[in-house]
This record gives sequence, structure tokens and C-alpha cells, in this order.
Amino acid sequence: MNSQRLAAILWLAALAAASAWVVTQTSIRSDISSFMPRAKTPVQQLLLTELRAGPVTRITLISIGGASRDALAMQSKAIAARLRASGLFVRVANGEPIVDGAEREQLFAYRYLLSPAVDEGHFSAAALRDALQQRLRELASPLPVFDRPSLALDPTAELRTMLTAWRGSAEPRSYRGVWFDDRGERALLLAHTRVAGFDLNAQEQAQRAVREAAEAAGVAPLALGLSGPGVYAVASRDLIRAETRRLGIAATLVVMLIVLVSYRSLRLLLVGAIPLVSAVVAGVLAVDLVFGAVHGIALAFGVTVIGVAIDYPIHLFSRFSGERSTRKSLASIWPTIRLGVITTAMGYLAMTATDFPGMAQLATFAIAGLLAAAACTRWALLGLLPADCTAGQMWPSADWCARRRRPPAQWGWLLALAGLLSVVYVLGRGETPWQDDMAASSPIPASLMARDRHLHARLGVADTNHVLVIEAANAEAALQASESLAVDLQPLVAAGVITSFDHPARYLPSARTQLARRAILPQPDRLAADLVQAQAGLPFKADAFSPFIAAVSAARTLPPLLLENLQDTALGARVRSALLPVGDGWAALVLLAGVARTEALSRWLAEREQPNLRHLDLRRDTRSLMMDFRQHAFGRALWGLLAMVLVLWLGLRSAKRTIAVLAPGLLAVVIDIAALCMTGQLLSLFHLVSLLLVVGISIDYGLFFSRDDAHQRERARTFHGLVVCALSTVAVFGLLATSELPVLRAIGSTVAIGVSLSFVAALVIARPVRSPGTAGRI
Amino acid sequence: MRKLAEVRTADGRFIERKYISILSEPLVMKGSVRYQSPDYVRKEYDGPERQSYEIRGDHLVVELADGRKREISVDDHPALRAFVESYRGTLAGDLETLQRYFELELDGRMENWLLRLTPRGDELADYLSEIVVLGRNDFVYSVETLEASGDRSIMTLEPGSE
Repeated sequence: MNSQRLAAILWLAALAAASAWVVTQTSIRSDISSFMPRAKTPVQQLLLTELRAGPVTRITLISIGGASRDALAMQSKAIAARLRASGLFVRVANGEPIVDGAEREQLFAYRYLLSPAVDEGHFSAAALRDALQQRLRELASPLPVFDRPSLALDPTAELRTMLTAWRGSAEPRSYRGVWFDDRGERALLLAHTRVAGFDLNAQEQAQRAVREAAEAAGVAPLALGLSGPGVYAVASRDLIRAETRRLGIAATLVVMLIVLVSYRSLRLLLVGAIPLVSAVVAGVLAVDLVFGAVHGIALAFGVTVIGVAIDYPIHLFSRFSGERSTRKSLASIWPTIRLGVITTAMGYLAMTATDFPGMAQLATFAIAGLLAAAACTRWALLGLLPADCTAGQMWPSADWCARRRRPPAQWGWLLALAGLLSVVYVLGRGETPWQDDMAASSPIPASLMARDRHLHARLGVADTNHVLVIEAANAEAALQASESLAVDLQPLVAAGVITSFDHPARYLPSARTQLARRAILPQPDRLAADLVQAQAGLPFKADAFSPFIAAVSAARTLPPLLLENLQDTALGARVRSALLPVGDGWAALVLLAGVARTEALSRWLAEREQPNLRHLDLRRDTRSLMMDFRQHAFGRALWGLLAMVLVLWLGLRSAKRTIAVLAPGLLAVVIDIAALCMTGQLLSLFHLVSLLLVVGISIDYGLFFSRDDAHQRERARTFHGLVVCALSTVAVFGLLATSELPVLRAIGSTVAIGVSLSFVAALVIARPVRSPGTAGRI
Repeated sequence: MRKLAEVRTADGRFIERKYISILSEPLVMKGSVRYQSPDYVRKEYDGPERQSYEIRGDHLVVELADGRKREISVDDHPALRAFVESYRGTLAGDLETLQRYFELELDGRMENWLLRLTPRGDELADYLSEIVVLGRNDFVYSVETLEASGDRSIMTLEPGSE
């Protein structure tokens, strides 16, 4: 067995082992957080934690339609009951009373410490008399109030006051006690999952539970609407999976077809597939080893590697004309391929060290994939082919390739002019071509995101764009700060700066407040005396309210209700969503709704001079985070470019040829950017990665086009390889441009345009350069 | 019952007495009721707290003394269901609906009959023990409601409008 055969067998064995490992061991993630920058400050951290795992990510909005209002109300109640019993949700709200059972008993016991109505004078004779008269009116009415059975215990209706205060001010319209949309056509439910939005398997389980509950309640599958961050995340993972599979298969078929048509050899077709598979497997393996998991987008990116990795075997196969041994053919092009792949890898190396895990994954994938494809072409392919392997009748034919004449060198000036105009156009537009909206880097399609903004608003799900964060040493201090902030925010509501706000102490007052309320609860004798006065002339029995006196008396020794006492309750879930441990301390989140005048809010904040209070404007802050990161990534890309120039120059030892090789790519990138801007696209980080890919591919083109091949026949073979490479690359990326995923669409269109331009520019500009040192080798 | 089903409209004045455990004396309310075949009932209270309850089908519109209106579904209030179905169902002679909610027991003769309604469903039974309706020919003159809590109300009616 010769060494080539041995190398091939070893390669295939390693490939099989790696494939098996990848298939069985690799975990795939698809949460949006990999495509968010890492935070540098605690507040940024909080922001990102909120975006990734916060209560907002746990919301599932359920809407049902397709039946009469009465039927929908029944279905809503049935679904809610089933979901509450499932244990998968901390809260399922559909308009029915939010607390019941044991939780209601607990809250009832604490009514005099929790009710916002309890203050000095609340139990005076006059106030009690008002309350009793109101109760009499309720007794006379044919519509009984829900707390009627506890009248003797709670004549001031404290529980009702609490529950009313907790209901949102902006609740949807209600019919038969169940929420409906404005038109009364769809019943609405709001479910908070127990798990965070990024835990996709658990989210999927929760969504399945919703579907089953809906089916059990008799809702037709099409009449059920589900949305929310968790729903999007699962949908986008499924979409990424489906798109990766679809485009992966399509790209492979197209590449195979092109190879088959170009070389008319089944053997070359099969052998040519090995570098492709090697590239994808190596990419997944490298990302998994470095990052511990592979993001779905990085996997989808693997499809793009197919479009580039095929170039190496193509350059080789184009030389299989039967005149030379395969070994000689390989030897003649390997130095060129080697320089090209090392240069491209250097470009990506700078990107692997970014703060953006998703971006670093893409770069790692590209480096590992391209190196594997090149190495496979160099060491493993020849062993699988006979030494005199010949391609079939090539297409385009050798004659056609030989007859091609290069366009006149003067065309280079036209290209340079186009490049210059593109720069002027992009810079002259006055607006940044960059998309700094986080949503643009999200793998989630925009149509999904937009679908239910309206529903969110209707359900009073707080607009989380504006959040005040109060940091404090402990939960109690955070609650106290939240209470005093709530008092100070009232004037802003009155002035119309904001429409409303929500804060944790609204649901759970601080221990200090609870103790203050406890302190003003009257002594039993005093309360009894005031009650006698209040009851004068009213038809209540003299001793009717002794249970009330006992209850108030009992409340006078109750320890305050703390967050720890609210495990597994609807109220606890609400409080916990806005009161969380951060670093060494705690933070209270005050959500502002309907911020009408941001400047007035900023002014108010500046005047407070409260160092532990911060205003998160999620849209503004994520934007600035993205901007920081984009500048950082842009810097990285420039370093990458510099590294590429250096490697090229070291490899070529000729400034002239280095320029000839690089210029087409740079021109292509500049014109590409202008073309993307003209079609109205804003550039995201995915475009940046794609542009780096374009530079890498165009360097290959530049290197091959500027080879100083000695013979006319040799030049024709080089040309043949380049044509087939360009065709396959444009075909694969053109396919990607049809994807439903914004990310793949961005990569596809950028590279397809860029590579076409690169080919033309290299054809014109990258002319053979005679240099004494490297002529005929690279 | 068949005789009752022929009633097209019925107007009456009522006096309602509610005996509630924590009250030393019953609450007394007066007002008027109007029934219109097949499913319309309006109950209006006299006095300063003048409020009216208008039911058509399953919809209840409450109008308070200050003119505010509230729309409610009868289904949400078992107590309301008890009143609506016992009074309206009896007047309408609608055995089918009555039997959906109650066990029925009819006693007496045409000129003086007694209809005892015992709730079927748990939701209703949680609130209500029984309703006794007394009638003379096609006129209902008393509806007595016994609540599960032991509280009781008696509504006596006489024909004629205000």
C-alpha cells in the first residue's frame, strides 16, 4: 500500500469517527443570546439577562377564535384550568380572579398588612360606618359580591381592595369574566412559563401542553394563536433546522450537478464530495469543542462553506486532462491553494476573538472548514484516484477556455471608477449603512416578531423598553426604594410624561410598610367602641363583627410577609419578575408604560441625583451596545485584512502581485456594499462576515488568475477551474439568498453579488505577474 | 305549566325581604318587575338607590342610580341564574330550561300551586339550597330563596304596574 492510499484511508476513518461524534454528541442551540454581545457592566449584564431569561421571555400569549363568544369563554376557562394544573406555568391569566385556594387564604390572613387602603383613620368610626353602609347596599343588590361569605371577617373589603389594586389598569375587555380582544372575536390568555425563554426543549413542552389543552377544550388547531419570545425561539429553531436541511440538500445537489457537468466523471463527483463533508464536519466539531455547543445559525453557515470548499477539488480536477499524473497536477496548484486558504483563515482569525459568541462561532466554523477542505484535497484525494485519472469531456471545453482572451487592461480603470463612485455613494448618503437594531442580528424572522405587538399592548404586558433599575443591598431595601420611587413617579403620571408604571412593592409592600400598617391597627377595645358607633342605626347585629375584631387583633402580631413566604404563588411570580438578585445585592425593576416624553423623564432622573437608580432604555441601550460591538468587529475585520495582506506579501514576495491579487476583492467589497445599500438593506454583522468571505474567495481568484502559467494549455485549465468555481459558489449563495431566514438571506445575497464582481474584477485586474522568486510555483 | 307558557307579558309590584344572619332585622326592598315572553325580565328597585336589572337571554344590564351601566353575563353569577331561571323560567313555563338547572317538584292545584326547585349543578348548589315558587293560576305571587349560607329572601308579588 502506498502512502497516498494510506493517507486517504486514515482520512476517511477520521472523518467517519468525527461524523459519528458530531451526530451523537453535538448539542445545538438556537437562542438569540449567542447573537448578543457580552456585557461589560453590571447594568448591561442585567439588561442582557432580562432579554435572555427575564420574565418577558417567559410570556406565552394564547388567543383562541373560531367560535361564538360564549363558547370561547368556556374554552378559555377550560384551557386555563388545565394549564394551571399542569405545573408548567407559574401563572396563567385569562381574566378570572388571579388568586385562589391556599394562596387566597394566605393573602386574606395578611389583608391588613398588604392592603394599600390601610392607613391612619381607616378604622375610625366614620370610615367604618361608610364601609358598613356600602356593605348594606351590596347585600340588598341581587348581584352578590364574591367576598360576601367573609363579610363578618372583612367588613372593610380589604381583600377586594388588594385584588383590585393588583389588576392592571389596562386590562383587556372582558366577557363572562374572560379576556377578549377589542372586537370580542378572540379570547386571550397570558401564561408565564416556569422556565426561561431560551430553554427551548422546556418551552416546546409548555407549548405542546397549550396545544393539548386547547384541543381538549375543543379548539380547532387553526383557531389557536400562540406567540411570545419562547414561541418565536422554538419556531426559529425549527425554521433554522428546516432551512439548513433544505438549503444544505439543495446546495449539495447543485454543486454535484455542476461538478458532474463539468467533468463528466462519476468517480470525480464522489471523490469531490469528500472535502465538502470534511469541511462541514470539521466546522461543527471545532465549534463544539471550542464553545461547548453549536448555534443553529453556525450550522446553517456550514452550507456556505460548501460553496467555498468545493473550489479546492475543482482547481485540482480541472487539471486532470490525462497529460500528467494526478500527483503532478496537485503539485502544480497546491502552493496557490495553500496560500489562499492560509490567507483566508488569517482573515477570520481576528474575528474568533470577538465578544459576540455567535460571530466567533461563525469564524471558527469557517477556519476549520476551509482548512479541512484544503487539507483533504492535498492529502486524501489522490489516494482514492488512479494515478492517471482523467476527467471526461470537460465543460466548458478546453478549446473554449483556450480561446478566451482577457478583456483589455484598461477596463481596470472602469472598475476603479465604479469602486470610487461606490465609496462616494455610500459615504454621501449621510446615513449610516449599519443596522444597529438588535432584532436584525436575531435569527427570528421579523414577521413573527411583529405579529403580536398589538396583543401585548392589549394584555397590558408592560412595555419593557423603559425600565428604572434600583439597586440596593437587599430585597427589603429594594422594596423600600421601589415604594418611595412610586410616590415620586405619581407627578410624572399626572404630567403625562408616562401613562403608568408597575413596581414590585405594588404586590408586596416592604416589611417596613407592613410594620407601619401593623402599628396603626387599633386595639380590640378601641375598635369595638368605634364599631358600636359606626353601627348605630344600621341593621347589623350588635356582635356581628366580633370575627373582624379578632382578625384585626390577630394581624397586630403577624410577622411581615416576605418574598420567601411566597414560593410557588401567582403573587410570588409577579414580585419575583421585578425583584431579583443582581451581583451581591438586589435590584427592583420599575417598568414604565407609555413613555411619551423621554427628555422630561431624563430631566426628572437627572434632578433626583440618585446614584443607585438607573434608567434602562432597552432600545437605546441595546443599540449602543450593538454600535460599540460593531465598531469593535469592524476593527477586527480591518486587522484581519491587514493580516491577509501580510500573509499574501510574505507568500508572494511581490508587492505588485499582492496588489493584483487583493485589488479585485477590495473593489468587489466596495461595489457590493453600494449595491446592498441601493437595494435598501442595512448592513449587519452577518454582512461583515460575508464580506470577509468575499475577500477570501476573491483572493483565491486573484491568485489563480495571476498565476504565471507557462503554457497556453495550463492557462486554459486554470481558467476552466475558475469558471467552475465561480459558477458553483454563485449558485450556492444564490440559493441561500432565497432563504426565509434573514441571516442566511443576508449572507447569500452579499456573497453571490460579491463573488460575481470578484470574478470579473480578477479577470480584468489580476494579470500574470512575472516575479523571479515565485514564478510558476504559486 | 302549560297555562303559564301562554303568558305574554306580566307586570307586578314586589316586596322583597332578605333575612341575613348578621342583620338583626330583614332588609326590605320594593320595586316592580316586568316579564315579556319569551326571555325578557326587568327588575327595578324603588328609592334613592334606584337601580334596575334588565335581562334578555343571557345578558344582564345593570343600571345604577347615577345612570352608569354595566353589562354582565348571567353565567358569571350563580345567584343571578337562580333568580332569572326560577322567575323567568316559571313564568315562561319553560320546563326544559328549569330542568336543566333544577330538580322540580310541583304540588297543589291550578288555583294554588307550589313549585320547589332544588339546584342540580355544584356551582349553583354552593350558593343555593332551594327555591319555592307559589302561584295562583298563571300568576306567581311568591318566590322564596334559601341560600346555602342559611340566609333567606322572600319576594312577594302582586299584579299591576306603578
